[in-house]
Amino acid sequence: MILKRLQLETNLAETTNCYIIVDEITKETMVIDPASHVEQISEMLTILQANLKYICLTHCHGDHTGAVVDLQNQYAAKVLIHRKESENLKNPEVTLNYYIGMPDIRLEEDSRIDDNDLIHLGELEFRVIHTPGHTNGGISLYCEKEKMLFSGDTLFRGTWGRTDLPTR
Amino acid sequence: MGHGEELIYQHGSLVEIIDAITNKLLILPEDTIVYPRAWKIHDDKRRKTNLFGVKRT
Repeated sequence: MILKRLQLETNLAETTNCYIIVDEITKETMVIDPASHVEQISEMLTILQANLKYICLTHCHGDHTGAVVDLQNQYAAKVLIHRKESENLKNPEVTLNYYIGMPDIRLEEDSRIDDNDLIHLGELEFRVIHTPGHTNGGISLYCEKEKMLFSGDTLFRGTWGRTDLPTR
Repeated sequence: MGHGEELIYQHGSLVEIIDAITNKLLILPEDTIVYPRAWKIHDDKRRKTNLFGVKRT
């Protein structure tokens, strides 16, 4: 597995961690939470000779999704989000795009995922763990083989995500 | 949604997030490497309590 972390700036004070995960053999790749700056993500994908298969969103908030449309335009990758988050993704009152200062873009997922679904990149397997609370359809991704957990905004270092934001 | 209907939002849930962390994440192997949203210590002043043992005044 190749793992790259990009700290992408949005209009919020804190950067968002965008993760690029590549299966070294097949080059199948997943981008988790492409928050912004598609050029940085694309540059890294090119360096890694990545075959982008999935764009996985841990939840719908705009500071995790800002580069999704541009990535969709450049790559034939499927956008994945939890079933309960699908409606939220199209609702600017929930994505907080206005609050974050982002354009009013209504994103459309390609596939809805559920708790315990498995996402495969070559030999790598990621299990979807539904972790609601920050939003109703928030997820974490767990790779048992590599013992890695990508927690989205469910976990911050030393604390958990905010629970006072609107969701449906 | 029909005309005149009002969207009703709820908020996130502290109970749900604690439940998810406790029952789904903390049961993962102890040597799991966690990649959270933020890697720096996050002392959110919006919270009524902080999580680092210092009482707010």
